[in-house]
Formats: sequence, structure tokens, C-alpha cells
Amino acid sequence: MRRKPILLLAIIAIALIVTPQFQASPGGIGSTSDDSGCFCHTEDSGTEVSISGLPDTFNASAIYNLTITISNSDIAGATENANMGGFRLLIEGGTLDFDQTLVQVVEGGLTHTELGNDYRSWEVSWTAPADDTKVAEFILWGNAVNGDANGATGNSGDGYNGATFQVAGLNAGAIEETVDAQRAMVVLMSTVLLVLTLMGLAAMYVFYSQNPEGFNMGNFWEWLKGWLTTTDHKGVGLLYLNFGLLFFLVGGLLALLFRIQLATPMNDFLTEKEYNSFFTLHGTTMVFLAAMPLISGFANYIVPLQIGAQDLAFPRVNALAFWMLPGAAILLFAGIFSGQTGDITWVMYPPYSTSSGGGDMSANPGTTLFVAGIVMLGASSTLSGVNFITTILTMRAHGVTWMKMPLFSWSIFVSMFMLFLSLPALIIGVLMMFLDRTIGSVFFATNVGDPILYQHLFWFFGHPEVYVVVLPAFGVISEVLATSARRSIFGYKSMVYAMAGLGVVAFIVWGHHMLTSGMDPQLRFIMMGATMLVAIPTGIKVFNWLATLWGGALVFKTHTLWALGFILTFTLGGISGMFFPVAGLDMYFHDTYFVVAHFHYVFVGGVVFGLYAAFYYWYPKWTGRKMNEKLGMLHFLISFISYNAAFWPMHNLGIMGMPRRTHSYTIESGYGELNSSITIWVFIFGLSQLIMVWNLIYSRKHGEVAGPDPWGGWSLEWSTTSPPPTPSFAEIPIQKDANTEAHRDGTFMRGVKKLWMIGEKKEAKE
Amino acid sequence: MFMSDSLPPAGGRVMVSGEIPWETQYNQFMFWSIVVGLIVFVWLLYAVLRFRRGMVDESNLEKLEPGTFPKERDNLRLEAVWVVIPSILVAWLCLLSWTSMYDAWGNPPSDEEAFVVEVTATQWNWAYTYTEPLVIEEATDGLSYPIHVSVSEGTILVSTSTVDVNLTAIWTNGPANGQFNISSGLATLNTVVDMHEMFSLTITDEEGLQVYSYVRYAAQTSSSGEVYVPCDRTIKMTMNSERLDEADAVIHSMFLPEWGMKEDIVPNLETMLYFHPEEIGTYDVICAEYCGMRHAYMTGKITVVANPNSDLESCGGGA
Repeated sequence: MRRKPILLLAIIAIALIVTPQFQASPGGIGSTSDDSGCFCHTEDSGTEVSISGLPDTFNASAIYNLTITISNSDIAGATENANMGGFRLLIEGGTLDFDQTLVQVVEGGLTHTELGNDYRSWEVSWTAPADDTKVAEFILWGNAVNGDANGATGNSGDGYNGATFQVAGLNAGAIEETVDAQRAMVVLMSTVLLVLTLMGLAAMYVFYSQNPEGFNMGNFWEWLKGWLTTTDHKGVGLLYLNFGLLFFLVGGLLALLFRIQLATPMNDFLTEKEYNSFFTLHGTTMVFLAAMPLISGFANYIVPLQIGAQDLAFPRVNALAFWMLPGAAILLFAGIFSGQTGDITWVMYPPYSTSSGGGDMSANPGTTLFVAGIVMLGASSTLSGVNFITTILTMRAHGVTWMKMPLFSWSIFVSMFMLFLSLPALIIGVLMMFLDRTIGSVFFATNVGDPILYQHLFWFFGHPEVYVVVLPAFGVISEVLATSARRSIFGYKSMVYAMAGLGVVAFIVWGHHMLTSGMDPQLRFIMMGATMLVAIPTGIKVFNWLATLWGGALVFKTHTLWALGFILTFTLGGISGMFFPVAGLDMYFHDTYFVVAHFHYVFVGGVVFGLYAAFYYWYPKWTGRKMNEKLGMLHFLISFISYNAAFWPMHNLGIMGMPRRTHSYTIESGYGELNSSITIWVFIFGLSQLIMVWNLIYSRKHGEVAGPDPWGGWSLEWSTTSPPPTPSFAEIPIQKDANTEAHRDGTFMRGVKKLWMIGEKKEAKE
Repeated sequence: MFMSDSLPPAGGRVMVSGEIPWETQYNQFMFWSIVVGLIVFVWLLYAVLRFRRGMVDESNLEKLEPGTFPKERDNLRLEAVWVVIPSILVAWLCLLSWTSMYDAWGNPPSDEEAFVVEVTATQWNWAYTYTEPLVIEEATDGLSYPIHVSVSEGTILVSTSTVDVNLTAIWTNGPANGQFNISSGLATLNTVVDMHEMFSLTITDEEGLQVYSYVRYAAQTSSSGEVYVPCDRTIKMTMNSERLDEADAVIHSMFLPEWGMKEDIVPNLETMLYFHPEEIGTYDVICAEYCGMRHAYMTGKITVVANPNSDLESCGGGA
């Protein structure tokens, strides 16, 4: 019984170790093995090969006369009309012209003719590439021959050697050394080992600090094994939360790095490829490895408690979904150790993302692994989706009816449903891309395929995905605000309808990401209208929150502050979103910093602030202690101010016309000042997150002890102990209901009935 | 915006930082944004300041007990208000936004009425091909006598209104070139001019200073990096993305901030962009869709040149 999972894990581990080898090759060297010029002989370091006449830097399309020379003082060639030597030259960039009696082309490379091997130097003329930002490369093999063979088999006493020469174009950057495959592999594996060791040590310290006297390795291993093999929803939830928080910091670190690059005009802190890779990883990490796992973490821990279930419907599937994430993370980040990670942006548009073999013009080789990682994330999310939908559909306790379910559980239900419905589109698109990259299929290829098809597939997932991450934040805010105002939420039923409405509308608005993509204008027209509709359910939610505060008795805890901050920033982000479906404005703002400002306002100001509120709100539930309020307030103040100061000016940059995803900008453009100030504020924002990390660690031991219901909430998770036992409820609880009327219709039903009654009254009058 | 100070013609408008082309629409949306924002923020601020713990009588509030679904609160009328009013606002904003849709995509000009430029985007360069001839003339500021040049297949004709000058004209036409003097106010050179090649002519005075230049881009002339278009005509860019060397063609996006126009350039699909410049000057061309390593540096210039047929003074005509 136990062997199967171990076998599965072993297969995954072996696959992970083996795969990087396939991609780490920089892929520069062409085929030399079928060469008749050199390889019939033995290698000899005494042979020297050289090319004279190469310029230091070439001018575009200029012609240079080159002389290829081989020399070996130990091997004397025959003197007259006999073999003296041969060569093979492979070039990347430019074209060659030559005397065809002495030199010929064989299998894409230059070599001597039969007549031509009576020499040890040959002359060719080289026309440099038209693009002088490239680096031309010459791979030369030379063979000094003693000429004793008389054309037959005698190769003894000959010696070959090879050399590579690089010539940069006038406007190319410095020649970079390509990291060879082996070195990248060593770096990758060392890093993985280092990270695992550090995490092991950290875990050991955590265990040690719990009980310093009783510490020994046996106990520690038992404890660690418990965490590694847990299928309890609380354990998996905490694993998710730690994982998400770790990658939230990693993604933030990447952002800090490229903000340094953007701080001043024409900066060269990062190379272009590094910059492109970093913003790609930043986006993908933040969405898939930080936001989604954090949400899954809260959903895992809180939803079964809120609906009165002992665990999720499929605990083992739940653990599997989590353990796919570290694998996916390794795939995503694998290329970074050879400097060749995916540089295809988080939206991964082909044909750039499917391109390969064009050197710097094509996507980095690590893109293949990157795409494979996305497939794995998709699989993990699908498993989560199935699990949560089943759990909420079938495992609600007595009294937790659809219209008596806490709003956080509702938000998870709607969001997982959307995830479940939209993921197939992404996985299909990404798998097609993966096939295009690996086995040469042509789904999105330039000549026959359709690159726009991918954009449709991606955004059919991508737009609901935005709501998948923001809806749980809505749920958190609904819980936090109601509890902090010490009363029930205003308009519970319209909140549910609004969320369900968002879940439906989210599927018909994807085209607003593609208004300038070359899509049919009639389709753009429909998408514009549908997008505007999103404002209505979102508006209902915001106004209901405000109405909840009205007349309540608000208590200011840290989670309350985050919730209030959420309403402020999310409203701003929502309003700036209304500018995009407008044709005239979108044609200007699309792919400028205005977009960057908008989605950071909804992602950070919406999702992250919501999750922070959740951290402060539910921390007592899983540790039994409250987080430190003073540190919390400090965290909120610094973060909230620096966040707005950092992201608000991005609107202005967008209005000035600064396009996103740009490595740098000119001094004349005038973007410098705002960018410098953004960088400073981003650093303050980033560092202030360490306050929360410290608070999470510190309060675990020193926080104020909390009872089962420290904030006065009503939902079922507050009726168990903090932390809850395993299984989470000794017996399935029953949720009571304070509403005395037997059955109250919701807003919607009452509205329908009123409309119905209009007719009845008329009939009565008649 | 990238300021232009080196390129002709003089008196061209430099784009002011922060200017939005679709200004009216932007202002309308800004107005409603501020209205909605103010309602929310004032409401939020008042609620937070007024309804704090200790300032209200908590005995009226619903009791929250763990494990008990609390008393529901709702108000059909209020909730209807914030369904209906936002719906009306959204409908109104939809109407507003559809007006610009027509300008942006609704009425593409035909190839006959528009000045068509074929754009070829590669990694990471812009190339342009003119489909009809374009003549750019430029005289030095303060030149006291007018110069007129006309070129036909067999003749190059230069005339000035004064005879007291001794000028030299240097011309090139594809591989051919030559020079001649203008001393009596009129010079005619009979030579074969290939009207399918680019023709350029510069005139210098006795001191060797350039006083006048004449460039005629023939139809099918290609240029790289910069493009010239006539003022006060509808310009239509038909755009393609092409591969270079071993790399696949990728998606680019032509972004003209001056006119607020943007359209992706997709391999194997011809897309189009049209606009109507109404002021001479030099403006930016930016690639807005991520296209690989040097995406950030895939920039260029577009120069709007005078159009004598125009009625607009800002286009060099009508005066």
C-alpha cells in the first residue's frame, strides 16, 4: 500500500533530475560529427588553427578577407602536390565567398576540396551580417596531415585541433560566455541541495525551539515525516501558506532587482535577457506560486472548519496537489541557473514563446522547462478545484445550507468553480505550445498556425484567473469587516448573487485583453460591452461593505485596517479598469504602464491586502495566539503608504506613454524622475513585508493567548478550539440559525415576487 | 515623449509630456471616476469615523455567536438603488465608449483615398515601403528667394525668381548622380531620371551652404527606421511581421503615442492602422508588444511633412 506513492515520488524526482539536461545546452555548436575533413584523424594539441583578417568588431554587411591557417611544427607535410592538411569551418552570422576549386560546402559547413588539401592555408571572404547588434561566431577545425596516406587509409601521424572565434558587431553588447550544459547542471543541483539543506535546518530549529530538552534526531525525523506525509487539511493548508509566503518573497526580490534596473535612464544593471527573464518570473511567481498557494492555504485550513467538515473530500489528492507545486517551481526556475530561463512574459504569447534556434532573437532554451512547469501548475490547480467543489457540494454540516454558508466559503466555491472551468483552456494552449517547442508541431507556428488562437485560449483562462484570486479576497473582507463592525454582513444574499454573477461575467470578457491584437472588430465590440458589466456586481459588493459599516461598532484591529485599506485601493483599481474597454483609450493605454498600475492596484491592493487581513484574522485559529498588534499596525502603515506612493505614479508613466516590459528608456523621454521615486518606494514596501514575517515568527511563541473565538466571529471555525483538533470536529457540528422566521426569501426572490405581485394587483383591480 | 530636436521640418510640434490624444473621452471617464470615487471614499471615511466602538449603542446590533448564522440584514430598496444606478451609469459609459470605437476601427479608408505605407516589422527594426511617391522639400529659413524644383522622366528643372545667384545643385537617382550650376535663375538638365528610384537633390550657394533640399521617395522605395508621411491626409499603415535569419517572425505592436494608436503586427496576418495627422513634426514609433531581447529599443521616428494641397496652416498649406 505504501509503496505506490513512494514509487510515484521517485519517478517524479528522477524526471526532475533528468530533464534539465535536455535543456541546459546553449545549442550553439552545429553538427561536426559527419565531417570528412578532420575527424578521421587523432586530436593533437600541437596543431594550431587560426583565422587572420578578422576585425575586432564588424560593420554591418562589410566584406572581410580571411585567411585560415593551420600549423604544426611536428608534422611536416609532403612537399609537392600531396596532402598537407584540411579544415572545417562553421559560421554563425554572415555569408562566405570562396574559390570553389579549393574550398567547398559540405553539410552546412565549409571544408577543403580534394584539390584543396594540398595546402595549410586557405583564403575566403566573409560578408558580415546585416544586423550589427549580433555576435558572429567561427568554429574552425584544422588537421595537419603528413601526407603518407596517398589518398587511402593511412591516418597515423596526423593531428587535428579546433578553436572558436567570436566577432561582435559594432552595436553588439559585450560577448557573453555561454555557460556550458554541465556547469548549469552543477549550479542547479547545488542550489536545490542548498535550499533543501537550509529548509531542513530551519525546520529543525522550529522543532528544537518547541521542546529543547526532548530534542533528538529520531524525534525530529518523526515530526518532519509527519509534515511531509500529512494529508490533514490543516497540515496541507499550513504547507501551502508557507510555500506561498516563501515565493511571495522570492517574487518580490525579483521585482526589487528589476526596479534597480529601471531606477535610472539607460541603466545597465541587468542585461536585456536578465531583465526579460526576471519580469517573466516575477509575474508567473506572484500569480501561480504566491497568490494561488496562499489562497489554497486559507481555503484548505478554513473552508472545512467553516462548513463543519472533518477534512476535505479527497485528502490524499489534496496532498498530491500541494506536492506538485515544488516540482513546478523547480521547473519554472531551473533555467535561471544557466542564465537561460524563460523570457516569454507571464502571458507566454507565441510565436516568440515557441521560437528556438534563432540565438538571441528566440526565446531562451529554459522556456521549455518553464512551459512544462505551467502545465504542472495547471494539473495541481485542477486537483484542488475538484477537491474543493466536491467538499463544498457534499460535506456541509447540518444547518450550513447554501444560503447560510459563510461568505469566505462561498467565495472559494465560486472561485474554484471558475478555476475548474477555465483551466482546460490554459492547459490545452500550453500543451500545444510545449509540443510546438519540443516535437515541432505547428499549432502556433508562424507560417501555418494561428498565434492569436493561443491568446484566446490563454485569456479565456487568464481573465477568470484574475477573479479566481480576487474573489477569495472578497470573501475574507466580508468576514473581517462584519466581525470588526460586530454585526452581520449587510445584504448577505445579494453578496452571494454578486459573486456568482462575477463568476459568470468573467467568462465573456477575455477579449478586452486583446482589443489591439488583430482580433475581429465585431468581437471587440461585444467584449467591450461585456467588460463594462463587471462594474455592476463589483459595485454591489463595495456598497454592501459600506452599508455593513454603517451603524456598526467598528473595532480597529490590524485585520480591520487591511480590510479598510482594501476597499480604498481596490476601488481605485476597479475604477482604472473601466478605462480599458474603451476603444479609444485602450488603444493608447494597452501595454503601457497604465496597465501595470491597474493590475498592481487590483492584485496587490486587492488580493494581497485581502490575504494580509486573512493572515492577521485567522492566525489565532492555527496557532492559538494572536499576532502582535503593534507590529501589525506598523506593517500596515508603512506598507500602505509606500504601496500607494510606489504604484500610483505608474498611472502617470502610462499616460506619458511609457510601454511596459521595457528594459530601459532614454533620458529625453522624461520617465526618469518618476521611475527613481517608484524604485525607492518599492524598496520600502518590499522591506516592510519583513515586519510581517518577523511578526509571524515572533507571535508563535510570544503572542497573546487567544481563545476559540478571539474576534467575536460567528462562523463554525470559531466554535472549535484554537488550534483545532485532528480530525477537526470530534462530532459533526450543527449550525444554528438566529433568524426566527421559518424561511426568508433572498433579495432576488423577493424582487421577483414583487414583480409578480404587480400583475396580481392589476388583476385584483379588474 | 522622446523630444525631437534634430529632425526637419522647422516649426514642427513636439509632443508635450502627458498629453492624451483621446482627450475628450479621457476627461469624460475621469469625471465619472472621480464622482464614483468620491462617493465611496466620503462614505467610507464618514462610516469609519462615526460608527466606531464606543460611539454607538451596541445593544441594537445583531448578536454574533459562534456556530449560529446571525440575523440577516438587507434592504431591498437600497440594494436596488446600487444595482440600478450603476447599471444606468454603465450603459451611459458604454454609449460613450462606442463612439470612439467607430473612430478607432469603424471606417477604414480605402487604398485610393489614403496614403498607404507598408510596414514590415522584424526583430527589432521597423521598415517602411511607400506605395505612392512622396516629395519632401525643405528650404533654409530666411531664404530671400523662392526655389522651385520639378522632376520628370527626361528633365530636372530648377528655377529661382532672381538671377543674381550662383547656385550648385547635386542630385542622385538610384546609382546615377551628377551636378550642375544655376546662374541665370533657371536651369534645365536633360537627363534620364528613373522615377522608380529615390531621387534627391540638394542646392548649395557660393559658400557651399545648403539652401534647399528636395527628396522624392518613389513608390516601392523602402526605408528603414524612419518614415515620412504627408500632413492632412489619412495615413494607412498595412503591417506585416517578418522573420529575420533563423528566428521565427514574432508579434510586434505599432504604438504611435501622438495619435494614441496601437495595433499588433501578427505573423501571417496583415493588420492595419489609420490616422490623420494635422500638424507637421516628428513623433515617436514604439513597439508595444514584447518581442524578445531588444524589445525596449525597437523605436523609431515618424515625420509628418508639409502637404501643399492642404488647407491647414499647420500642414504648410493654405497660407
